[in-house]
Formats: sequence, C-alpha cells, structure tokens
Amino acid sequence: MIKKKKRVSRGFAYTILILASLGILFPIFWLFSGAVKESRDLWAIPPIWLFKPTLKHFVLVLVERHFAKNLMNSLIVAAGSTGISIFLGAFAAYSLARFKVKGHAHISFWIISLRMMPPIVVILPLYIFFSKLRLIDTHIGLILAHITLNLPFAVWMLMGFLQEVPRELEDAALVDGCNRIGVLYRILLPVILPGLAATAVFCMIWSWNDFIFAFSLTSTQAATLPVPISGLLGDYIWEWSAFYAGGSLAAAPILIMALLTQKYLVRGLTFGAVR
Amino acid sequence: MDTDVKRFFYKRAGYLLLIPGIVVLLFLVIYPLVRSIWVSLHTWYLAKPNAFPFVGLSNYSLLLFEDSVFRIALRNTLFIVAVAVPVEFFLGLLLATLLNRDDIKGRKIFRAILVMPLAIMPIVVGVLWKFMLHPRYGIVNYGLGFLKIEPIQWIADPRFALLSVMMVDIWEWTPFMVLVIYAGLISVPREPLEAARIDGASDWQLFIRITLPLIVPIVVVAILIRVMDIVKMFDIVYVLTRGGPGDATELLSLYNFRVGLNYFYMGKAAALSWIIVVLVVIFSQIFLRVVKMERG
Repeated sequence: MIKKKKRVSRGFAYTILILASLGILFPIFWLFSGAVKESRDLWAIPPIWLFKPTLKHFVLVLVERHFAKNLMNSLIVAAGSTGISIFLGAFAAYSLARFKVKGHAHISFWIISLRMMPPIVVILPLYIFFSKLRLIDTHIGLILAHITLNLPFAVWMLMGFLQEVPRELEDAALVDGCNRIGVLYRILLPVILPGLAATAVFCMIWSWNDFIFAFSLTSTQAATLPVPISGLLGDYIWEWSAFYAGGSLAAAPILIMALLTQKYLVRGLTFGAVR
Repeated sequence: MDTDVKRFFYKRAGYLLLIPGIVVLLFLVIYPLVRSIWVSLHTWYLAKPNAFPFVGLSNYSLLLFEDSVFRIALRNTLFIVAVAVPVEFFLGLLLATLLNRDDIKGRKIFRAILVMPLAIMPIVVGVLWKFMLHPRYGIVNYGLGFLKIEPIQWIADPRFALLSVMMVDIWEWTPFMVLVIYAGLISVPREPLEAARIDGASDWQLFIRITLPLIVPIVVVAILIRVMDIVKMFDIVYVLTRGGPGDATELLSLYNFRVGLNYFYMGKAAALSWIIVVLVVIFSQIFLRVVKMERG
C-alpha cells in the first residue's frame, strides 16, 4: 500500500519536471529550428515540424546584414572587458582577501553594491562623459562601460575563491623567498583556476548579452550583436529569418559556455552569496 | 636602500594592489554618478546644451508629484515585482523540491535544461517571444486553440501586455529560482531530517519545521536579486512592447532611458536615475546584511 502511494507521487514528480522542461526547451527549440527553416514556412499555421534544413539565412545575416562585423565587435568587447576586469580584479581581490587593508570589509561591500546599480543610472552620465571624450561608438568606450559591470563582479567572486584557499599554501612559498605577486601568480591563481575560469566566463556572458550599454553608447562602428538583433522586428519577410539565424548565432556560444560552467552558475548569478 | 624600498612596498602591498581597481571604479562609476547629482539639480536639454539653469530639487518634485508617466512606471514595476516574483518563487520551490527527491534520476539533464534560459541573450528572448505571441500566426495562440481559447492580442491589448512581459520574465527566471533553491536544499544536513522521520514526522512537517527555516537566507537572497533585476528590467520590455500600448508596460528603467536618450531631458533623467538608485540601494543593503549574517 505504502509502496504504491510512493510510486504514484514519483510519477507525479516526473510529470511535473518533464512538463517544466518542455516549457523551458520549446522556445529555444523554436529559435534554432526557425534559423534553418525556409522563410515562407516560418509563420505557417499549423506549424511545419518536418522540413529540410537550410543554412542560407546564416549566410544572409553574416554577409548581407554585416553581422560578421557585429560578431567581431562582440568578441573584441567581451574579451577586452573580461581581460581588464580579471586582471585588475585579481589584484584587488588578493588585497581584500589576504592583506590587512583598513576597512576591507566596507570596501568589498561597496564594490559589490556598484554591481547592483541599474545600468541606465550609469549610462546617462557616461553618455555625456563619453561624448566629450569622443568615446561614443568605439570599442574602448563600450569596453570601459562593461568594466563597470564586470570589475566589481570579478573582484567579489575572486575574493570569495581566494578566501577558500588555505593560508599554509602561500606561507610556505613566502618562506621560500617568493614575493607577493609571485605567490598570486604561481600559487593562488593556479589553485583557484576553475573559479577564475568561471568568473571569466560570467564576465564574457554579461558583456556578450548586454543590450542597454551597447544600444546607448554605440551606433554603427562598435555595435555588438544585440544592437542589430533588436532592429530585426521590421516589416520585411526576410528579416524574420534573419532574426532566427542571427539570434541563434548570438545565443549558441553563450549557451555552450554556460553549460560548461554550470557548477558555478548559482554562485555567479547570486554574486557569490549562494555557494 | 634597496631593502628600504622593498620594505616600503611590502608594507603597503595591500593598498598598492587595491588602488588600480578602485581608481578605475571611481573614474567610471563614482565620478559619473556624482556628476549626475549635479545635473539633476539643473534643467539641461541636450538639444540646447548651453542653457544649464539651476533649478534645485524641482526635477525631483516634478517627477514624484506631477509626472503621471513616472507614477505608471513605478506602479507597473512594483506590480511585476508583486506578481512575477512570487510566481517564480513558488514554481521554483516546487520544482527544486521535486528535483531534490532521492528517487529522481536524470538530475543532471534537468539542471542543464534549467541553465539554458538564463544564458540566452535577453534581447533574443524578447524578439523570439514577440514572434511566438503574434496574435494570428504565433505558436502560443495556435497552442491555446487546442484548448478552445480564442486568439489573444498579447502585445496589442493593454490588459494582456503587462501579463506578456511577466510571462517572459517567469519563463526566463523561474529556472534561476529552481537552481538557487535546489542549491539550498542539497546543503541541508540529512541527520536531523532522518531523526525526525523516525520520530514519526510527516514529509510536510519535515519541510515546514526543518528544511524551510534552513533555506530562508538563500530564498531571501534569490528574491532580492530578482527584485533588483526587475527594477533594472529593460531589454525584454524594450523589444516586446516598448512600454506600450500607451503606458501599459512602462517601467522605471525604460522611462529613464526614454527621458534621457530619446527626449534628451538630462536633468530630469538624472533625477529619475537617483530615485531608482535609492530604491536599489535599499534592496542591496538588505541583500548585503543577509550575506554578512550568513558568513558570521
């Protein structure tokens, strides 16, 4: 009797979980399948489930819609803002985790509260500031803008990872005559490498997915992928295919990176609050 | 001499390592924010950049007491917080609890599926849903047709527009709740649960008396993050409804963007930004208190 009751509720658990999974997966399936559908089949009612896939829309967006350039911009900005944030962030995190800097607790909380600032609040003054410095629509401008998101995040995450490393490890190296920077590069960073990689992946995801900074601070030369994608709501039929192909191109790399770092996903999304 | 220099740097190494990062943040975040306080005390229309009359706090008082769009944006934002966040929380709690059962296989697959909506570019999510919610040719209304539901004007009907925005937010962010609550559940120690079960406690009692109190801090953190996200919400609503129809889906961040970068009323936009900052600072301070308490 008890056994039977248990089996029923187990079936119930599976049903709910599978239904939820299908609900989550369907829009993603719809995006990727739309990218390889013929344009005329996109709006078919009832929908066409079986069709011969085509790759021509990818060629269309990359060549005719110049997405190749936006893709390049996305890569440059993501790499630049991530690189600088991790580099400066590692030093600051090391300092906050290991040195007795006065008020280090306050400083670290101040830094992470900058990450929680709504972007629009930072964008308006940056827009005025960058206009004067002629940084609007440049890679450097957008990289600097994304650093406002990624540097506080990198400091806070790396600090958390560094605090988990036992002190004995560096003490031994310091006794052996290694200097402080050497300890950071030769001992600490290699030890926290998975965490370091996860932090870098997060920075890339935010930079890559960011729309509001890119939309406000770039127009043509330095525009990253989200900017032209947001403009594909037009009235021409071929643009719908362009959206599905362009959107798939923009979504796929991040999807893969996120799946590879899922172990740290919760930690990253909660700014290290949930480990 | 050489050792003196070394000692000088050694003693201050902590500060020297910290300074570059702090300087960058002061330059890129704090300086612009402080400038924006100054701007918020003036009328500054970017089309006439040379006129910069000081007006005191009148930008703030106009927004708070006389701007009907601001009030609608605030109301809509709070409405999404009040409806979408609880829905995400309860769905998240349900799914995480089911996922945490011992007799469930394929947890890794479920987890991988949950990761996906969180990673996909929000702007893509917005446009995709706009297509899926098309009243005549959208897949959502087609699906509802099987349930004998008449086609719904999701985006064009003011009664459904805000609901559409919330639906997309729930699709994208319920997985976040599941993953966070699940992370909390697996960290709950087993012994007290098993001891209580031997003493004859029911599953429901175990959940209410033991599990729930232990995951409260994590739940609070997750909810606060979602609340702050909704105050920031821009991408999805920008492509889905652009605040419309009328003001039906006007939100704080969207309105702030519009005032600043479409109408170029920089003084007013800066004042609005600071009202948003105050809101977010309240939530982020609670967030940090909880984190500090958790770490002892």
